[in-house]
Amino acid sequence: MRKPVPAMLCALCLLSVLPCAVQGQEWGWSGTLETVLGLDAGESFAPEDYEFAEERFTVDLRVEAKPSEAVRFAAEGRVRGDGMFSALTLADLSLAQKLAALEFGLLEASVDVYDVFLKGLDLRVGRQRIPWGPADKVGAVDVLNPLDLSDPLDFGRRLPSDAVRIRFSAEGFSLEADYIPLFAPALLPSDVSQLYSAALPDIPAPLSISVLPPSLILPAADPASHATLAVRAVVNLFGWDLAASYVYGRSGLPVATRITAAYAYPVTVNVATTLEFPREHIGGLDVSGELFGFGAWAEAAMVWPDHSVVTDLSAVPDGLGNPGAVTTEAAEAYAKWVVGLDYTLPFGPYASFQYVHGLFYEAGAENLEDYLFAGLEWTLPGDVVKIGPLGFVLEVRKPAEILSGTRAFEDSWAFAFNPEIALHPHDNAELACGLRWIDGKDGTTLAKAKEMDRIYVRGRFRF
Amino acid sequence: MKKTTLAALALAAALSSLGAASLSGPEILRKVDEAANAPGDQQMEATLILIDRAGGSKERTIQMMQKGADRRFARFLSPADQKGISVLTLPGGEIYVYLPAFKKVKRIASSVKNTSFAGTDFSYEDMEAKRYSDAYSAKLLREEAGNYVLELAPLNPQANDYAKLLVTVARESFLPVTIEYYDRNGDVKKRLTSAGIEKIDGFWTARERTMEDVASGHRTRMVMKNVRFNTGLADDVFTTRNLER
Repeated sequence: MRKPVPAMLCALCLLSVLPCAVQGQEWGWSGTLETVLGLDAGESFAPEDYEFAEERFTVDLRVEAKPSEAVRFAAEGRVRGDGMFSALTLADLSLAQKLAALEFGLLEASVDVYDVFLKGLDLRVGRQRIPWGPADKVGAVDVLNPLDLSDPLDFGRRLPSDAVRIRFSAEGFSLEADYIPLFAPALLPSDVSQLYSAALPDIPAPLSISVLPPSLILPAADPASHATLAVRAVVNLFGWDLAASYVYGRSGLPVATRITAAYAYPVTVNVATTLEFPREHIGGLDVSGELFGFGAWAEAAMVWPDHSVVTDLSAVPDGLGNPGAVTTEAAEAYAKWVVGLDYTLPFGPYASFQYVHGLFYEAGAENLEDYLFAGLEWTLPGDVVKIGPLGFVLEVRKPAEILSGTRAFEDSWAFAFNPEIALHPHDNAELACGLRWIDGKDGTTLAKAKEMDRIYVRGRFRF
Repeated sequence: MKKTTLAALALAAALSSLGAASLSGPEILRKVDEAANAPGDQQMEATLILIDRAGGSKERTIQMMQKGADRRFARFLSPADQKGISVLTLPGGEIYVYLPAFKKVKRIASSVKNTSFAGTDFSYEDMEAKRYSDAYSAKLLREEAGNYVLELAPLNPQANDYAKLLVTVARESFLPVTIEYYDRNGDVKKRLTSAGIEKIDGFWTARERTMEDVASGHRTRMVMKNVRFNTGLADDVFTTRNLER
């Protein structure tokens, strides 16, 4: 249950402008209706293996009002319905949420005030998305909003944050400061093992390990423990946009800070993990511009975690009967980065490439993998048929070891391929179909989703 | 006396027409550039009507603002799936686009300039007020029906999609009435036609422009309304900050 303070802040902002808004200034409504039907395609796409995987509809509704040139209010809500019923017992059949689950979300509720006290000084308060960096979906410096990993293969989704943003803009320069009073964790997938598994200590034979469900420690409830503070400066030099940023916040993904092993007679060791959301400092640099007609960009983020991992084996004797060790290891700093290029071909197709070291949900130097993202989009003349985005991701595990010859590429690859074609019979209407094909070697990140091959059809209408 | 006056008048008329015809191709092209870039700033709403060969049509409306020759701001007002998308062009060829779905300003490469603007037959480059004399040399082919007909050749053929342009320029306004874009095979690839040329706020402008893709038969009519010149557009209209507003 979220604390009420940020919600009250949003409500106060809304109430302060609604009277002006109602008085007949510009109002705008817009929205989207979308429905998706997806089939699990098995490993070989054989029709006899198809099973329904998802059937959902989504309604987004957005309202904007401009009581004056200096003030703008925007709110966007979402209703999502899941057509796949999840009743497992007779009692479940009496629960509407089991038969047709509905989710409600407030994606945005913010007020913009422009030229506050000073020309070029803008304030935005409320629930908002704060996207940083030029990369597409997999950036390294876009860290302010918590991750939405409910569909881990829909890269780049983030939840909005209740925040205060102040930005000063002058010609070729901007400086931004953000304050997020209430920490919010990432939304994890239903199968958390898709993301990571418990770190297991070395236990001597013949003992076997039993992993207990982890315990979760939330930040203390005081404002100082929750606050996220961030600054970002952008300057345009010689046609390039250069930015530097700093965030003092918390890891949105739970991190193991204590691993405790306890002997359970006769030959089992119970391993209990404590998860927390530790503090971290993130320094970022990004740049975007043009090279020989290609769009080019790069992002780099240095993360300094502010926690240690305690591994307590004191209750597990070694082979000589001596108690095990208690070790404390400070989490080390690590760097993530992205470089990208894009180009629009003369007859219309748009191609983009991004090389990523450390996907947005990977943390710790030893856990960062390398990925190549490629995409192609082409709207055919007439604006009716659109091919793409043809998305392709190649994961290469430990490329440095492959290059040095200590690891074989054949054991280190995985890919995801997501072609799609869409028909726009009329403006605002779209009918699309696509597939998602994932394969790779065990041990790679993408291979964990090998079972999620999918064929889907999507209808979308905007108004 | 009367005969002398009449003869003098006839001579004056002949001399004045001779003076106009003595404009060279480059001079006419310079006047075309001056006419197109005469206003300090301009803003308008434009309706883009996409018409396919079968006669089916789609519409987009955009709000456009321009200051000088190289700063332009365009915001889509409709249809719904494009509403709010905004494009900013700055000196040096920098192009930024704001995508409401991602709430993000994105820098795009100038390779997009020669591609279709919003699915229309106008390219990004066609949407810009340009100085033809910076990119083309001009030769006066002939005068006909009160217009000049120029042949433009690119100064840098490797960097230009077109081998030549045939431009019919209205004598009175020095606005292009038609432009035919020829590819390297000598075929007409696109044809731009202007209509409704009139003076607004003292500046010549065309109320309607139609770009036709000759090969496909697809064409786009751009109809301008609420055209205003020299309204004192502020520099901060042409900023990435304004893209997000």
